[in-house]
Amino acid sequence: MADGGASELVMLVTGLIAAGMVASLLMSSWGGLAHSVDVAKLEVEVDSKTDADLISDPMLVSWNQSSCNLSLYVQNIGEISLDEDAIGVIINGTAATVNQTRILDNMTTWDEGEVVELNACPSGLNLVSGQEIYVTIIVQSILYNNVVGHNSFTEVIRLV
Amino acid sequence: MGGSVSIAALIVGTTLLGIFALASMSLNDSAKTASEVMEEVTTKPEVRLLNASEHNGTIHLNITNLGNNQVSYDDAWFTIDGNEPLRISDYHNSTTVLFSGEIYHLQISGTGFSNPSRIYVATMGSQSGVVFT
Repeated sequence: MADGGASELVMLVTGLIAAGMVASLLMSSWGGLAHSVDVAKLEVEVDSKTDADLISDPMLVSWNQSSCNLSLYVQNIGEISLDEDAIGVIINGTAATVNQTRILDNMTTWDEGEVVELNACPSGLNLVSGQEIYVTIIVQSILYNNVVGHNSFTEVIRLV
Repeated sequence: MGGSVSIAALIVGTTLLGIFALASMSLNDSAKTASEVMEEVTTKPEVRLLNASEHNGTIHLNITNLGNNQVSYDDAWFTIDGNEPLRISDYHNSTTVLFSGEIYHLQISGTGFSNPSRIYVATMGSQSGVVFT
C-alpha cells in the first residue's frame, strides 16, 4: 500500500513536471509568435500611414546638366512625419544622389501636408531638356512606436 | 494515478484555452488594423482646376473638389510655370477649406509672376493643371 502510494506520488510529480514543461514551452513559443505578428502588424500599419507624392508640375521639372541638379518637390501625404534626410531617388533605374533637402515655408519638420524640396544628381546619366524620365522616390517616416515606415512612388516627369 | 493525470490534463487544457484566447484577440486586432488600412486608401481628395487667368498681377482661378472630403488650403500648393510650389493659404485666407462639390473662385496676388502660362495645383495625392487663358 505504502509502495503504491509512493509510486502514485512519483507519477503525480512526474505528470505535473511534464505538464508544466509543456505549458511553459507552449507559452514561450506563443509569446515569440505573438511578438512577430505584433511587429509585422505594426510595420504594415506604419507603412500604410507613411505616404508622399510629387507636387512638382511633372510637365516642367527643372534640370541643370552642368551642375547636375534635378529639383523635385515632395509633399508628405501620410499621417506620420517623414525624415527629410532619408530620401532615396531612382532616375531611369539608376540611383541618384540627394545633395540637399529643404522644407518649404520655413518649417522645421516634414509633417503631414508639408513639402520638401530635394536636389538630386543622377550621376552617369546624360539628360536633356524635353526628355521624359521615370523618377522613383522612396521616403521613410520618423520613428513611430519604435518602427519606421517606408513608401515609394514612381512618376514620369518632363525636364525643362 | 488518476488524480495526477487529471491535474496534468487540467493544466495543459487551461494553457491551450489561454493560447486560443490570445490568438483570437490578436486576430481581432489584426482585422481591425486591416480595415483601418483599407479605409485610409479610399480617402484621397480629388481637386480639379477648371480655368485660370491673370490680370494686372492677380491670378484668377476656378477650382472644384470632386472628392468626398473637404480639402484644406493649408495642404494645397500651387506651382506656376514649374517654379517652387506656394501654399494656397499663404495667398488666400478668406476661406480655409474647399468643400466637396464646391466650385470656388480664388484670387491670388503677390506671387511676383507676370504673364504666366501654366498653373498646377497639388494636394494630398491629387493634382490638376491648366494653362492660363
